[in-house]
Order: sequence, then structure tokens, then C-alpha cells
Amino acid sequence: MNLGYLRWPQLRETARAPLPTLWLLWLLQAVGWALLRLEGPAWQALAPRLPDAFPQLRPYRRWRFGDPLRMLIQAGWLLLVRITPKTSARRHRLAAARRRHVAGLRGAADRGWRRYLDAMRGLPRLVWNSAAWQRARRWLGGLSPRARRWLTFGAGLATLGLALLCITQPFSYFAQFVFVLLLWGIALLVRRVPGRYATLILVVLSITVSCRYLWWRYTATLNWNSNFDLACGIVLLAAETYSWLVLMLGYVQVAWPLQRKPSALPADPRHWPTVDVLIPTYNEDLSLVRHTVHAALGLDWPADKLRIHLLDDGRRAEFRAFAAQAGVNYITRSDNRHAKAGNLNHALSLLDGELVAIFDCDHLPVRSFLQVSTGWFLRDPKLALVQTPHHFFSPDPFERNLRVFRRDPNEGELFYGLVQDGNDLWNAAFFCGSCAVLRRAAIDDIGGFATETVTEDAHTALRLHRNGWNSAYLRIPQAAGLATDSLGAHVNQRIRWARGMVQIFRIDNPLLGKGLSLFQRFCYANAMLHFLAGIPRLVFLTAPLAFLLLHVYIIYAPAVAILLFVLPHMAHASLTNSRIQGQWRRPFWGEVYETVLAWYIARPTTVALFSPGKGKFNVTDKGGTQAGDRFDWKVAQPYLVLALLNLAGLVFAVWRFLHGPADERGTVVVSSLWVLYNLLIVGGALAVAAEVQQVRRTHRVSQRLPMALRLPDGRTLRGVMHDYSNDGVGLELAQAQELPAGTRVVLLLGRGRREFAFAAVVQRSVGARLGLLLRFEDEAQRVEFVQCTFARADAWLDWHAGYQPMSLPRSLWSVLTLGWRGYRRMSEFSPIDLDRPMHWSRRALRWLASFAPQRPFPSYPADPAADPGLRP
Amino acid sequence: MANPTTARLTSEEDDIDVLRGHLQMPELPYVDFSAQRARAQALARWPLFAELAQEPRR
Amino acid sequence: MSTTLSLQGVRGGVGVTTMTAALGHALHAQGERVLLVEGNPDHLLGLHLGLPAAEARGWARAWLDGDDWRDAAFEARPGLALLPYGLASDAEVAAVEERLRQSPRFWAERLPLLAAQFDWILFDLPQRLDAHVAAVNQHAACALPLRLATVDPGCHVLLQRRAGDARRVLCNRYDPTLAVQRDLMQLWIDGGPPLVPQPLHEDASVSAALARKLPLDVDADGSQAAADVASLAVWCLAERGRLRARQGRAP
Repeated sequence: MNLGYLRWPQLRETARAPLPTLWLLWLLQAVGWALLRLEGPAWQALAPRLPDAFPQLRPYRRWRFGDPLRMLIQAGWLLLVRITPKTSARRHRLAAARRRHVAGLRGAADRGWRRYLDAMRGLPRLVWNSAAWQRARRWLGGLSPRARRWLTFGAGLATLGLALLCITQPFSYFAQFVFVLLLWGIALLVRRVPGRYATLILVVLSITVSCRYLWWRYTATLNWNSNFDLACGIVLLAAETYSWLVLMLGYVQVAWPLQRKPSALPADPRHWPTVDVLIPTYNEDLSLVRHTVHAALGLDWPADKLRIHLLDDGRRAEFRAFAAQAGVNYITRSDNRHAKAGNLNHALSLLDGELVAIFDCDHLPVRSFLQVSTGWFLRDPKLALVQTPHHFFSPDPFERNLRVFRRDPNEGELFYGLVQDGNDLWNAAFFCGSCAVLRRAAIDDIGGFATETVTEDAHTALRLHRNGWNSAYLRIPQAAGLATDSLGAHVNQRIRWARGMVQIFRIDNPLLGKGLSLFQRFCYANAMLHFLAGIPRLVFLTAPLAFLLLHVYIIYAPAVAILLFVLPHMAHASLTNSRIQGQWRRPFWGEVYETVLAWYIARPTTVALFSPGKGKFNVTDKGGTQAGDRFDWKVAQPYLVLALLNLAGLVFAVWRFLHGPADERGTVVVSSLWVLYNLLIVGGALAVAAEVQQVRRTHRVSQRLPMALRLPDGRTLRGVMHDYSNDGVGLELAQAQELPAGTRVVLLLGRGRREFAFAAVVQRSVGARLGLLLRFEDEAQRVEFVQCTFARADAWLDWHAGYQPMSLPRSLWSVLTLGWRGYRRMSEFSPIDLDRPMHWSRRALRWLASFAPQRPFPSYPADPAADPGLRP
Repeated sequence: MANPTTARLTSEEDDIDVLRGHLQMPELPYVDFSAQRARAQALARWPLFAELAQEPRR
Repeated sequence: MSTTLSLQGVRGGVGVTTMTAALGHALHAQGERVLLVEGNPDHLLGLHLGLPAAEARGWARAWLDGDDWRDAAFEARPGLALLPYGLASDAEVAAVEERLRQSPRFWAERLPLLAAQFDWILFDLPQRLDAHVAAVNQHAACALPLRLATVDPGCHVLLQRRAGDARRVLCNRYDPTLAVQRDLMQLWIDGGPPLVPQPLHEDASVSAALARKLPLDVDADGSQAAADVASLAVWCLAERGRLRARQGRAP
């Protein structure tokens, strides 16, 4: 290719472009030929490389209007930035050596890091095995009980004194900075050490920092000059005290999870207790309840000691017929007083088993439920309750709408995985209404299930504890059910729990009255306090607006001080909580959960706090299956208001920054960061309100089990079942097999060495993946199918297999991006059509970006020695 | 092979063994009533098997 | 050092020859060098390995004719060899039976010559003909003697009658869609004969593969029968490991 001067007609031929562009090109060409020696050998040698050097301009494409400008920018960039690889051998050697050096450094850093991690991980073992510790243990063991008591007392006193000093000593800013830096450094060191004692150290550090923060807030940050400022400041301070109290009580509650293991039953089944299995139902569909009954029929327990009862408050004939057909007892009553508690009490009046197992109508127990949970009753005669986790095999609204099902832990896992386990240490595990076994004698002792509040389960457990009975918690998922269907239903359920817990707080306060140990009181109080989080959360969401909109000094301190005290408090709390909560909750996601519920539980809990009996609050909820994606505007309204307020706050922040006094700029920045964080959290709550379409009526459980398929021609194909539901399975064969829809096949499932066969019909077939609809011949087959799938003893044990640990910064980032996604999803559903403006703004941005210089295509000159590079 | 599935349709380890492994309690005693029920039903359904089950082993 | 495995049907027609061939293929697919020896006068094992149906040579034929028995071996693939029985009339089979009664150490003398060439030597044994069986199971020190049974009342009765036989039972053509087979399998698992943990399922792919003169894992790789036989091969390897460990421990 040659660089030649193109006359006007030739230019028009070669470059297809609109007229103004052609003029510009001709002008550029003329200037270029006039000023540069384009016919010289240097430029001519460059000619073959030029098309690759300008990837924005391709010969087959029409020249756009801005292309000359792009060409100039690209040329300028190429002139300034050398792209071509150096051909000099020496330069190659130096570059390679530099790369090796950097890799070596990185490798050394990596190895050093790994050695550090291993050292930290091995630290507990080192300490426990060390000679010094053995000597200390021997010495401690040799002390008399009195000496030990004095030693504990003395250590406690010294610790208290040190703590008081740390918390109340006023520091200059620099001293505070050094102090928090030191503590943070220790926390970063200790976080790599595994084990409970390291967790306790982190807890102590966090308590120190948080107590110090609160002391500072009480003593140094209230504005006594103005009454209004003082009022606002006190409101915020009350909210902060609430969250500090919950934090402290939370540490006490979960510092040492008990992790109880099942206790073995005696070898002879004749010594096992009799069990009444109660399945209360009111208005649920038979198609839902029958599976629970089938699962209960498969429980591994001596037949003469197991009685299954269906308690139907709806008095429906089809339930009676089903119970007769399945062979379970059918109990009903003439009225519906006290809802579920009354139903259970009425049933108990007709039964006499030693133990009572209760399952909600959609909670299917696995076959090993009773043998795993009842051993403790025989070991401890004062044990009244064994509770197991409520496991959900369907996604709750958070998981479904945020699309994190099976990837991240859900909201309930913190409670069932950690909090109840922590409660168990203090003998404070409480009844959750389902998936539990109770001792009949204990229920009789307290006069039946409690009926005064709407959360009768927690109240019953409180009464049991007051009467001296014990409770136990086994952190093994042995039953699973359906999660709440929609956000509305979820909010309603939480409102009911919140009201009930606050009612209990008012009429049967765990902090007062006799029968409870100190730690039991703490645990119950924390459970109830947790539901009072509505108002404090709303305060936090609106607090910075007080300054930005109303110029109220709610935190009467300079920005530097705020940062020095608030940041360590939040950082330590996050670090310690993420360490304690580990796999049970992603850090920072609790904020989103709390925010979603805050508005809705604020009023019911406040009303219940003052008059426990009053009020009926519910959100209208459509529930069930949905035709398509929709946005729950009703539920999302309060958050829209909050978002708008915070947005207004941001606008005011900009104004204040520009026009306000200079010394307040720091505070404005801190406040706007807070507002930004609030905006993103509220965005997260809005993201949950964007309900995702629910296609299926029956929920599919995703689990891989080996199976075989018998075809009509006698061949048996092997494959893997990757999900199942009540009457359908999805499977993947080892080899693709085209099966027309409607083919009758037989599904073979194994459990251990037993095999079961189920007639089925192919519904859809894509490559190696099939969807089958099962055709059961009789009830016995349905029971067998449940035994192969939902009621396997190991069905829910590896639910967490897909979880990957997420670091703190990453989790924070995911919550913040969730907020942004929430606004975007909301805009998809907005009544105003935001599509066109967004489309045009995207196009504008892309047009702007097209002017940026692009990396030229690599060219491989035939002779590298002849390549002088792009610079002439 | 389209999908290398190494899991077997039947295995010596059943769901109770997996439970024991998960609990790290290999000695947890368990009485498999469902297998006992299946055995009783088998003997009830087929008279030949019931008869042979009663015979002492030679 | 090679391991000897023998398969004998509890009664006729349970599929011993087919299963021996399938197991041989599966072990070969695991990388083992396998020799299949047909102890069964039916002379059908060659068909499973692609030999022409008219092939009449075999070790018994050679013995009767006075030829070298090693000449009757065929190599189906590198590492998979076959020693058929040979076409013989009933009288000739009776003669072989008598000779084996006279010299029961027939295989005990010849197997060490093959030990270096093969990791596994599989014998498919006849249902009657005790001397044929004893020459392998007792005198040749077969490490893994197995019985093959189908899951039906007839085999159930026979197994009960021979309750003293300590050989493990491999279940063939197991069809869980039939209630009687399901129930019988449940009785066997609970307290019946010692079972090999891997049952072989009823699968029409098996006879289809034989009719196409192809091994099972080539013709029907996605079938349950192929998977069963592959798992059985893995179990055999594990058993060999256990046996060796036990021998290593005992002086």
C-alpha cells in the first residue's frame, strides 16, 4: 500500500462519507502533505501499518462525522505512547529479568503470607501443647476451691478496673487514633487464629471499642445549647444505645454455641417412649398436607409406639376421608378458639403419649427425626423440649427476588444455625412452633400450650423454663417445609411474631418474675429486643437528614472525632460478627433484612408495648403464584419516601458544602456518606420488593441423586436426578436420548441398597435432560417416593454445599451493588416510561466513549529487523 | 460420555450412614424400621418366602 | 501376580457367560490385563468377544486332541485374551471331567505360567461338572470365587439349600419394577446369602450388545447395565486390594 495524494474525485471514491466529512478529510490531507514529508521513505514504510493502527476506521465502513477527530486523537496517542514491542535483544532481556524479579517478589510475598496463615492456624495447638500451659494447668488444678474462687474474683476485679479505664479515659485525637489502630491491628492478627478463644478475644476487643464509643457519645456529643438539637440528639442516642444493647446481649447469647449431638436411644425398642405426632391444619390445601402425612408415616419408630394425628380446624370432609385412607387419626373440634394453640390443647385432651411431636402442615420430617431427637428425653428427666431447625426447601422472598437461593444463607439460618445453638448453652432454647418434640408431662405441668399471645410457642417455652423444665436444641435439619410465598406474606408473618414477642415482654416479662436464671433472662430479652428494631432502624435511616435538612447538631462533635470513634466501633462489630456468624449470614445483609421490616414492625410493636391486647395489623398480600414479575408498590411505599428524603438530603449536602461555613465541611461530607449508605440500604429493600415471577405451583428441590430409567423397549438408562418435587422429577441422562413427550417410563431410585420403581410419563426432553411426571398407583407408592426424596435422612444436610465464604469488603460491596440494582429494577416497573431517556443516555455515553483511543491491532511484520516502530 | 456420573444407583452407604458421617458419630445406633416393615410385608405377600423363612437353615 | 476370579451360576441360565465377558471388558477398561478362561462346555464365551461362531478351538479341545492348550488362546484386544472351551460332544466333555478328576491340579499347574502376563484370570464355570469347578475353586486357589443368581424364588430355594456355601452371590438381571424381585432382594439384604454389594440390573441393552457383537461399554455406554458392570469391576479391584492387605498382614 502506498501513501499517495488523493485528488478530490479519488477521495470521493475511496472514502464513503458525507460531504462535510469529505471536506475535512481533504483539508487534513492537504495540511498533512504540505507540512510533513509524506512522500519520504520513513512515512512510506509506515504505510502498511496504518490500517491496523486505526482500528476505529475500517475501509469497509462509512466514515462518520466525528471520524477525523478520532483519527487525530488516535494519532496523537500513538505518537506519545509507544505500543510496539522493542526489538532490541537487550531490552528483551531486561524486561524478562524485570518480570522474573516481580514474579519472584510476588511468589515470596505469597509464600510469606501462606506461612503467616499457617502459623496463625497452628497457634491454638501450639499454645495448648506448650510446656508453659501444661505447667499453668497443673498449678491451677492444684489450687484449693477457695483459692480458685479468690483468684477468679481478683482477676474479675482487675479486668473490670482495666475495662473501666479503657472505656472512660478521655484521649486526645492522636491518642485515640493510636489506641484504635493498635486494637485494630490485634483484631487483624487474631482473626486468622481459628478456635473459640480467638473469637472471645475479638469479642472482648469489640466490647471495649463499642463501650468506649457509647461512653464518648453520652459524655461528649450532646448539644446542651439548643433544646431542639438536644431532643434530636437524645433520640439518636437512644437508638444507638438500643443497638449497643442488642450487640452486647448478642455476644453473650452466641459466644459459645453448644453444638449438641444426638443422644443414643437404648438398644431395645421396647424401652422407647410412645410418641404422638400432631399435624395441625386450618385452611391449607389437602395437596400440601398429604405429603406431610406421608412423610410422618415413614418415620422410623416402633409401630405400636407411634401415633399420627391430623388436627383439622377446618372440619373438612376430604381431610377426614384422606386420614381414613392413609390410616392416621383424625381429630377435630367444634370451635376454633385460640387458633393453633387451642387446636393442640384440644388434641392433647384425647391423647396420652409420653412425647408429643409437632409439625406444621407443610413441614416434612425425615425418617430419622424421632430417633435423632428423642434420646435426650431419656437422658434428662427434666427435659421438656427438643427443637430442631426449620429448614426451607423453597426460596423466601429475599432469596427469590434477589436471586441468591442456595448461594447465600437465608434470613432464618442465623437464628436456627447460631442463635438457638447459643441459647442452648444457657438452657434458653425456645419452642418455634414446629419441628420439635415436647414432653407431655411438662405441657400438662404448665396447663397446656399458652394462648394469651399470638406467638404461643415462645410463650409456652417461657412458661416451661419458669417451671424448672429444661430445653435442648439440635442443630441438625431433620424436617423441611415451604418458606413464605411473597414479600407481603413474609412481612405479615414477621409482624405477627413481633407483636407476639412484645406482648410476652409486657404480660410475662422474662426480666422479672421467678424461675429463670440470669442468662435465660438475657437470652429471652434479646429475642424480644430484636423485634423492637423498627424504630431505631428508622431513626438511623433519617438521622443524617436532621443535620443536612434542618441543621441540627445531633452529634455535637467535629468530623474527625466522629470518624475516630464511629469507624472502629462499626469495623470491630462487623469483623467480630462476621467471625461469629460465619456461614450463617453474610456480613451487612442483616441491615437489608432489618430495613425491609423496619417500617412494618415499628407501629405494631409500639402499640403492643403500650397495650398488649390491641390492634390487628396486616399488609394486603396477594401471595400464591404470579403471572409475571411485578413490583410490590404497596409494601415498597415507605421506602420510596425514605429514599426521596435521603436524596433531598444529598442535594442539600451539596448546597451546604458550597455555601456553608468552612469548618462544617467535614461534617457535611461525613453526613453525606452516611446518607449514601442509607440510600443503598433502602435500595436493597426496594430490590426485595421487585417480586420475581413464580412459575410453578409445586416447589422443586434441587438435589443430585443417582437414578435409572427403564424405557418401554426394555433398556435401562442411567442418569442423575437433579431436582424433584411432589410429583415430578428433572433428570439428566448419561447420554442424550430423544424421548417423545408422553412416553411411559419407569423411574428407578435407590436409597442405600433398597431400590424403588415409579411409573412416570415424559413431559419434556431436551438433549440429555428430561422432565418426568410421576403416576402413582396407590398411596403406598406416594409414601415410598417421599421416602426416597424429601424424607431421606440426609436430604437437608448438605444444603450449604454451595456456600463460599465471602470476605467483609466483598460482602459490603455486594450489599451496596444490591442497592443500586434495586433502583434499577424499580425503574423497570415505574409508571413513567424511563426506557427512552435511559436508552438515549446510554447511546450518548457510548458515543462519547468512541472518541477514546483504541489499542491498534497487532501486526506481525515479515522481518522484525526492518520494523522501525510506528514512530517515523 | 455426555455426563460422567460416578454415583451408583445402589450403594453400601445409605442415608443413615451419611447422617452418621455428617454428625461425626459413626457409632450412632439406628434401628431401620422401614426395612423391617418391608421385610414383614415381603413375608406376608409371598407365602413361599414365609415358609422358607421359618425353616431352620441346614 | 494375577488374581483369579470364578463365576458359577446357582442354576442354569442365569447369565454366567455374559457376565464373565462383561466383567472382563470392564476390568480391561480399568487398565487391567485380563484373561478369560471358559470352564463351561457350552463354548459361548467366544461369541461375546467377537470370535466367529464357527471357531472350534479351545483348551479342552486341545487337551483331548493332544495339542498345546496355549495355542487355543485368542487375543481380542491388547491386554484382553480369551481361552475358550472348544467344541466337544457330551462324551468328550465327560472324558474331560474324568481327566480333571484324575488330575485336579490341571489349572494349578498352568496358571503360574500366565501370572506374569495377566492381572486377572476370570473363569466362567459350569453349573454341574464338579471336577471342572473344583479344579479352579479349590485346587487353583481362586481368590474371588463368586456365584451368580437371578432374583427369583427358584434361586432363593437353591441358595437356602446350599446355605453352607460361603461364596458371595452376585445378583443378575435384577428388575426392581417387579414386586417379587424387590421383596426378595430386601429379604436377601436383611439376612440372606452373602451378597456382592453391586447388583446387576435387568437391561435389554445387554442382549442387544451381544447380538451386535459389541462389548457393552461400547454399544450402550449410557445403560445401567454398563454402569453396574463398571462398578463391579471397581469392587473387584478393591477386593483385590483388601486380599493383598490381609496377606501382607498375615505372615
